[in-house]
Amino acid sequence: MSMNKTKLILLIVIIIVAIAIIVLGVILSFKIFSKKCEPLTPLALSRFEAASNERSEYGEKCEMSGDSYLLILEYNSSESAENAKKALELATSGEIENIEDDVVWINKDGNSSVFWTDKKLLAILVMPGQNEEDIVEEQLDKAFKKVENY
Amino acid sequence: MLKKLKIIGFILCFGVFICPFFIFALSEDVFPKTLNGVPLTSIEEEQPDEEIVSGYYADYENDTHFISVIFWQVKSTELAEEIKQSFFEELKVQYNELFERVDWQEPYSIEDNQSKVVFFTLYFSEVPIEAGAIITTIDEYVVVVQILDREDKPSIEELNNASKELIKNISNDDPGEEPNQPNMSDDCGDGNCQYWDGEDCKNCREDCYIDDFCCSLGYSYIYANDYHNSIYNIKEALGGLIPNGAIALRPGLSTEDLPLRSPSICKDGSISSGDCFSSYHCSNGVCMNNYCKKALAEEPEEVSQEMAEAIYEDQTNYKEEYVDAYYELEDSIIQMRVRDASLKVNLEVQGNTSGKVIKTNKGDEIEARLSIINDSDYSLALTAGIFYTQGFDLEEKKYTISFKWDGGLSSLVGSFKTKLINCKYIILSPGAELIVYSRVVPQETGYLDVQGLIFYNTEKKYQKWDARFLENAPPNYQETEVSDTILINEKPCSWWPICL
Repeated sequence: MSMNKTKLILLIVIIIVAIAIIVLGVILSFKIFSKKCEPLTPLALSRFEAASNERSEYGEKCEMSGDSYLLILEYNSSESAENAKKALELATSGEIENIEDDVVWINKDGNSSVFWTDKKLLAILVMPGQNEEDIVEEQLDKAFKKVENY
Repeated sequence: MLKKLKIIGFILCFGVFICPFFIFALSEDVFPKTLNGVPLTSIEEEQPDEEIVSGYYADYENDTHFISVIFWQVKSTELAEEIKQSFFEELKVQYNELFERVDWQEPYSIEDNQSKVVFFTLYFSEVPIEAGAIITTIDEYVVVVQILDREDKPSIEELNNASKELIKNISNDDPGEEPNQPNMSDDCGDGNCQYWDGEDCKNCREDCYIDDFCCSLGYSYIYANDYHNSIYNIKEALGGLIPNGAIALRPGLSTEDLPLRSPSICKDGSISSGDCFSSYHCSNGVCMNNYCKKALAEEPEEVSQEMAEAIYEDQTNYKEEYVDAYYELEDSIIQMRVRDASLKVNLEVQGNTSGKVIKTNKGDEIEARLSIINDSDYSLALTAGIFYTQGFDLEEKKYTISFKWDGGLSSLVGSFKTKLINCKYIILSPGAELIVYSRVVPQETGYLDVQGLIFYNTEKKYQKWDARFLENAPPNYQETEVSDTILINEKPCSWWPICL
């Protein structure tokens, strides 16, 4: 008898969770994408500096869906951001394709990375295990919004 | 006159018959307006039946948290206990069916089996949602709290606090017990509680919920000395201070997450297992520094002033160079004050990101810095080192100790951690700073514990001494410890430098 009761409790919990998930998944999915960001440490920033010869004093890594993530690096000027973009593109090996003007998609062994700048910001969307155009573009739309609202 | 008596009689009857109803039945009042700072959004009443005397469920919601609460009074204490015992198993079965994937951690009991806790990650459209649930029973009451967190793993403290906040209401309804509300002062939560030292914890429960001493919000602490002496039976010693130091555990971690060194066990002054450096170290049940047996006592290299300065700069100057990033990092530095010796201790651990859980990838570098400043007006003998989880596959890249005092800079340059302990003590004069720096590359995934161990001696004879290295280690020492944890993930791809 008590087991039945336990199941009843669970039913309620499930309903609660289901509601929570709907709220989470549908209404706030944008928030999830936009909120899961962590600041890069000086150690990580120095790696970017070593690779690009441009110093960024602040950067974030934002988790996107699955294993994908967005790197946002802040530079002192749009020129620095542009230089860093070129240098980091060169350091990233793979097949290069221009999605739009100055939005560069690099594809290697089924992994994708997309580089673009927005004023003083350099954005790099890294999508391990992902190279289908539809998915990449879908992710990219979200990432664009994220960078615009940064 | 008769009329008056009737009225009094009526009031008395009301008092006797009606009041107990309010005292013992659950009501909506058991739900506070906010729970862990999250506002109440809905309450619903459960229909009573032969098993449920009364019950409610409630939701609390804000941008980051979704807390569901079930509060039931069932017909017997035994039934409540039975529900508690089978709850998580059933939860697991149900959730596994409902979601595309759920990663479960092992449930465990806290508070003398009064509560059971489980943490899990739900996947919804590939988006992971961190969650935790706690079920608590008190007599015939059952309280379930489930926290979904959109940003981080909920911590055991969050669950426990929420559960206690609700349970408190049961005892508040009891007329025999005075409600024990802490005085909430306006000064609470202003960031003063970054240290466990010097706060009025009793009035700042939100910041410092651990009795008798203050702590960073959400952190728990365990005794360093007990840690060494009862290493196989580690207990959640939340509270009490700790002149000899503490191990700080990040929010969301418990002592069960602590990767422990495997120590040597001593019995009656001799070693019953493992390797001790000498039986002298064997008096406390566990060899204090059993790892020293393997210390390859390389001679410390003599270094020039230039070299010393370069090392010191290498260890510290990023603080000026990466101003914004360092500002972010500061939040995740573990700070501690050793009270009986007036030492200011900082342990910084740097991976790729510095969120609430520091993260990096297998194959990427980690930097750890342990800084100790003598904040007193006398000198003391001290040595310190950075240690990692024993058995964790690591490649050591660099290990240096530098030492800054009024008279200048000096560095002891070493290649490996093990040489330090039992090698050289330093007389740390007032205001002087010792910095231990370590760079390693983890070669496996998982949580890596980074420990700063500090051995010191405040004997009178050292108090007037100038800065120098001691040829012989003092025969007695006190020990303190500060620790942090970093999560090592699998590298997501092979592109350098963008695969973080």
